[in-house]
Amino acid sequence: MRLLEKDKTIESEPDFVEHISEISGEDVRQCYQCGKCLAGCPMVEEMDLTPSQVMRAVQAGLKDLVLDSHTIWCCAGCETCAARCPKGIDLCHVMKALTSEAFAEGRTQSAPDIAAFHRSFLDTVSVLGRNYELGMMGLLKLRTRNLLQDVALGMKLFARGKLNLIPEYIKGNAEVRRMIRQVLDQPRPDRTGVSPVTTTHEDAGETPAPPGHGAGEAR
Amino acid sequence: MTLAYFPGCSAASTGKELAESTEALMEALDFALVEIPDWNCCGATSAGVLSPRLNVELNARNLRQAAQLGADMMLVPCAACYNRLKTTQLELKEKPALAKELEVPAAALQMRIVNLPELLVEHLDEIKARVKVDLSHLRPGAYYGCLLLRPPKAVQFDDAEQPTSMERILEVIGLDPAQWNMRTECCGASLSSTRPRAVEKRVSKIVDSAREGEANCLVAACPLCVLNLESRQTGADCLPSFYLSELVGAAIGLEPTKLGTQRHLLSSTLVGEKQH
Repeated sequence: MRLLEKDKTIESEPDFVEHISEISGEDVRQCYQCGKCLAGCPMVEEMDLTPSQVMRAVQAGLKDLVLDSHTIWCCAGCETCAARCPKGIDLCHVMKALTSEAFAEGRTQSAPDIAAFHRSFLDTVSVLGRNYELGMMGLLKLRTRNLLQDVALGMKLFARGKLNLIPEYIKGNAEVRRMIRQVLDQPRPDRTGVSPVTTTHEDAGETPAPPGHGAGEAR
Repeated sequence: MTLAYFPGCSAASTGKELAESTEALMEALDFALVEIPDWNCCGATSAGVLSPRLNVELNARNLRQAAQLGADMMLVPCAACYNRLKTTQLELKEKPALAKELEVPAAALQMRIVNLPELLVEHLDEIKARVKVDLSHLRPGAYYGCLLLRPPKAVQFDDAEQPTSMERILEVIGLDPAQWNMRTECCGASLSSTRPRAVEKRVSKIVDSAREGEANCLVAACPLCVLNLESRQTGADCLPSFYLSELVGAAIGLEPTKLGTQRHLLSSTLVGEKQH
C-alpha cells in the first residue's frame, strides 16, 4: 500500500471520473467504499493501491496517481469483486479502462513487464489471427530481456506435444491485424526519455519493476 | 444434436488434452461438433487490458463467423474464450447500435453459448447410462476458477459463490467429490508469466485447501487453470489435475490416450491406479 506524502499537492482532473465511467461502462461515482472488492481480491498483496482506493482516487480525479499505479496492471481480471460489489460495479471493467488509458498515454512504467506481456500476446495475434505460444514468449523475452524464465517449463510442454513449431493462422488475419494494429500503433507520448521510434521502451523494462516482482527473476 | 464449436487457441497448444477429451466425449455422447469457420483469438486478457473496444471487435468477428453455421448452440470448452464470447454477446445485446456497427447478425446474439460443465449437467441421464469404468480411487476436488462463473450477470451459469454443476456430474460417474473451500478462487491467470511467485502462492493456497477437503486430485475446466495448477505447484508431492472431460470420458470407457491424458505435466495416471 502506498502512503501519500504529506504537504504534497496532487493535481486533480474533475472530468476523469466521467471519462473512465464512459470507457468502462461502469458508473464509478456509485462506489461508496465498503471495501468488499479488496476483501476478496486475490492479487491485493501485489498492489500498491487497493482496488477500493483506486475507485476513490478515480472519483477524486487523481489521474496520475491511478494511471501510474502498479495495481491496475496486477488485476488478474478474476471478476470476484464484480460478483460481490453491492453497487453492481464491475471493477475489472474499470481496471481495464485504466490500463487502456495508461497504455494510450505511454505510461506503463509501473509494470513494464506486464504491459510487454499483453503487447507480445497481441502482436502475435495480429500476425496470425490466433495466439502462438512460442512466438509470444519469444517476443516477451526480447522485451523483458528475461531469457531464462520458464525455459524448463517450455521444454516439458514441448516434450508432451503441446508447443507447436509451426503456428496456425487464419484466412481473415488481415482483418484481425487491422483491429489490433489500431491499438498497438496509436501514437503514444514519450514519458521515459528514451526514443520511442526504434525501441519498445515503455514496456521493455527500462524502469525496474518494484522489488520482489517477476521482471528480473529467473526460475 | 449439432453444436457450433469454438476450440480456442489453447486447443493447439497448452490445452491440447482439453480439446482432445472434449471432442472424444462429445462424439461418444452423440453430439456433432462443427468447428466455427476461420475463428480468431478471443483476445483473452490482453485485448481488454490494452483496449476494451478491441476485445469487443475481436469477438464480434467470432460471433459473425459462428452465425454462418446456423446452429442454436455454441460449445466453448476454454473458460477464457467462453467468457469473452459471452460477455461480448451480452454487451452487443444491450447496445444494438454497436451490434449494427460491427455487423453482428441477430442470429449470433440469440445463439446460446455454453461451457462444457454447463452442457454436461443438462445431460446427466445420458452420461449415467454409459458409465462402465470404476474411477472411485479418485476423489477429485472440483475447481471452477473464475471465468466459468463470473461476472454472473453476463455468464449466467450456476451460482457464482456456491456452484454445484461439476460435483453433480462427478457424482453421476460414481465419484465422491471433495468438499472444500477455494473452489471459485482465482489461480492468478495470465500473471503466471510475469508474477510467477504470486501465482505460486495462489496455487499453493488452492491445493492446500483441496487437500484439507481430502481431495487426491483436482478437476477443472479451464486450460489456464490446469497449466497454472500443474506448473506453479511447488514441493515434491504435487496434486494432479485433470479436465472434467477426461474424467467423464474415462468413466464411459474411452481410452485415456484418446483423451490426451498422457499430455499432463504432473500425472498421466487416470484409470486403475491408486492416487495418493
